[in-house]
Amino acid sequence: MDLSSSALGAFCWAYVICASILGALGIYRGGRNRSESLRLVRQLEREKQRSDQLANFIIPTGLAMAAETDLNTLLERILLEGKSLSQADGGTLYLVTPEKTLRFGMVVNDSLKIAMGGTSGHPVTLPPLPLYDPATGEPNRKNIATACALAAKSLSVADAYLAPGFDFSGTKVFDQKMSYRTISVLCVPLKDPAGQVIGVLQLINAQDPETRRVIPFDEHLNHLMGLLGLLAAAALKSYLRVQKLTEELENLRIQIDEAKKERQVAEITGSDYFKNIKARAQEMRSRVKGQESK
Amino acid sequence: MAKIVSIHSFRGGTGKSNLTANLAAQVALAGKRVAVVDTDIQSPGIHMPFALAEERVTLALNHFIWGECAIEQAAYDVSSVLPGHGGPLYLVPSSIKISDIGRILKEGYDVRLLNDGFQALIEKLKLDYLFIDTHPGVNEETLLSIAISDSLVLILRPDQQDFQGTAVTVELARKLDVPDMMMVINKVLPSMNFAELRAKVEAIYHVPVAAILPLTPELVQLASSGLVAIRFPELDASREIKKIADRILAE
Repeated sequence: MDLSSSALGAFCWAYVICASILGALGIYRGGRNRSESLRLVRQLEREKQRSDQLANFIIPTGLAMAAETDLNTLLERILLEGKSLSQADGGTLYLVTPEKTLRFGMVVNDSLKIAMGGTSGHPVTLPPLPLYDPATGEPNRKNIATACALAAKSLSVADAYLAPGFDFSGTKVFDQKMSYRTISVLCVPLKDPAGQVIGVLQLINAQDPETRRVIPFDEHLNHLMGLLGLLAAAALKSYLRVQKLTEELENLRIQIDEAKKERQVAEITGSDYFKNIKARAQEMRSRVKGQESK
Repeated sequence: MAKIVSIHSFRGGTGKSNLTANLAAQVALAGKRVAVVDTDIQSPGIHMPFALAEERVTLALNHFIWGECAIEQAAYDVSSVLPGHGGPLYLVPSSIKISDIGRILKEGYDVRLLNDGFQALIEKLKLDYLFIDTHPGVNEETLLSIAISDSLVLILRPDQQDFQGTAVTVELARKLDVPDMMMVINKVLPSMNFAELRAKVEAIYHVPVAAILPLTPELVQLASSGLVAIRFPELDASREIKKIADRILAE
């Protein structure tokens, strides 16, 4: 049958063309479903990973921190666990001081093989960061760690050298000296249950677990890092509370209110009973014991 | 001649009864004939460390005070708490029956009867040492016990109220010419500087600190249920208790 020449042939072509169009439309819809499915699968994988991290890492770490009785070990645990969770190359743990500064509690860097503070045996000699400009009293928002403490929220930059609004000049000097390159930075506030910031956990250079290339900190980790910050702050606050109580007890002051004592003694010694007892005390002592020697 | 040792505290909860029981046991272990009288009639408790079962106590100090028995009839041989040789060790308990406590509180009693009772006990049981577990605070009974004592052991916690109250008791004991006085500071946190605490207390009261007893998990767990110096002789607290006992024996 010659299709090109008959009405049937025209119908068939029309059919083929329509079917092709409809078939193409069908392929398109199935492709869009696959893309959606893939997105959903990735989301589920991420959620599962988050749950696993919560159950297998955050909660056990939080319990271990709460049980820690040595400050250096506690600081070290907070920093190293945070570094591990975020796949960071290095980090710093700061503590807020009564003088409104961020004191360096511990500093580590795997690539540079640096460890100061904690149980390393090497003290941190870096000067504290002021939360407020000493000259003007203005909040110090130029430093990412102090900005994090002041804002009481996590801050993250993908590249320190290109981050607008922050002054990383100190970091650049350090990098040049140590032949290092600080790229991604994440700061997490350590907030106690009342919401007061008592420290900052700063992590640098998140690394791709397979290639070890430096990458931005995974924004999906923010929630988990925030939880770690809460648990760390609770453990620190508890430790400092016990320390303060112990110091108060150890520095026990004994104060006798002499006037009150004299008043109470006078009241008792002025009684007939006491006068009687005093007059007879020696005699009573002898009598109570003397009878048995007869 | 028998020696009378009173253990006193200005406030309750200092560990007075436990210390009395442990000291009496240590002195008995040194081969002395020892009796303990629980004169804390309002809140008796020294029968616990001696494991004296309630059902065994038919007569107590209360019945002596009411004229219902001789004091030696209310004395129970508790030497079984001593390991090996030593003693005998007697306890004259106060009744733990609510009705008996209530009666004493309601009727009161002539504290001079206690004096007669102590005298009779020393004679009848041929005692070397009579330990008096006093009622906390300052009242007629405690003043009597302090007045007739050869040695007065003042026990307190490192607590401001205890420090203040003990200052009153020290002053009263001095006025009653007690021949020997010592202090024992109990329930002290192990992290405290014991030497510094001893120096501070001795400088303030001018009374020697015979021992500082640390607060330990064993003491908390054991509470009143046993004699810690016998069950855990290796503890610092047990060694300190033995030092106090040795000091009493040496006086």
